[in-house]
Amino acid sequence: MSAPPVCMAATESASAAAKAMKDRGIGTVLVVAGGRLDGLVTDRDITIRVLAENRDPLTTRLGDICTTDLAVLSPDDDVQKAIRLVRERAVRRLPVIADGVPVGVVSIGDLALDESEPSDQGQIKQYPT
Amino acid sequence: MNAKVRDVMTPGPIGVDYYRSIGDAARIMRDWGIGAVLVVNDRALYGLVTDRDLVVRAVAESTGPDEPVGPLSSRDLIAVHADDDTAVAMRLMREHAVHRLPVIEDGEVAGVVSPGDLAPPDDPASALAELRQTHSG
Repeated sequence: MSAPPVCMAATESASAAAKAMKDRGIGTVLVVAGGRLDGLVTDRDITIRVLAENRDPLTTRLGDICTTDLAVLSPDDDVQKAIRLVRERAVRRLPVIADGVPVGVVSIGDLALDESEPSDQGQIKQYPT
Repeated sequence: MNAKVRDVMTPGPIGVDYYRSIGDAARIMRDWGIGAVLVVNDRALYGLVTDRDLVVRAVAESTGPDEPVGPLSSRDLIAVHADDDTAVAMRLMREHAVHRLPVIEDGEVAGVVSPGDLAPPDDPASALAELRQTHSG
């Protein structure tokens, strides 16, 4: 997984998230509201839900464009579970939650590329990026 | 047997003109369910632009959706041949830190390949190959 995840408030703008994605070299921002994980916004979400819809990135709030009802992982879950969730839920990124706190994100790229590496390690937490 | 790039690529890549707007490019990505479009200038391949490029090179820089998409393109593209093994595509993506490669056949662009296309068919991650159907971007 990639850790630690970048979290932003649901009231922040799509523009701010885009800047964070650029500056941090990431494609996913976790959206938090009141200290709890509320959803997830990807670079693609900003393309599809802001640019393609002619919304203003400066005034569009993350809470209005994030994906909620997330499938999530725990750090001790194995990679097979991650792959199964990616397939069943048709998602590309899975937040990793430990004791209610977001600690990382697993992306489809992590899974596809890391699977080719010779490794006897089978747990999410053993796949640093 | 090693899979060939042609077996896993998304064929028939979508191209947009250099002067089409950023908003149009985003709508094309949305409507076709793709994450990258090739950019064409004077009928020649100019570059490639991804959904992420629109975000980090336009939205993050306060560039508006009516501006032309061409300047956001990545140029000097690394490409792979349709007859290459998928392992070649994977290696090129790693070496050049890119997530999409144009696929060349008979001197023309025949498709695009992305990391989700590349999971080896004989390992547990082969489920990823199915995702090409729903996440061809």
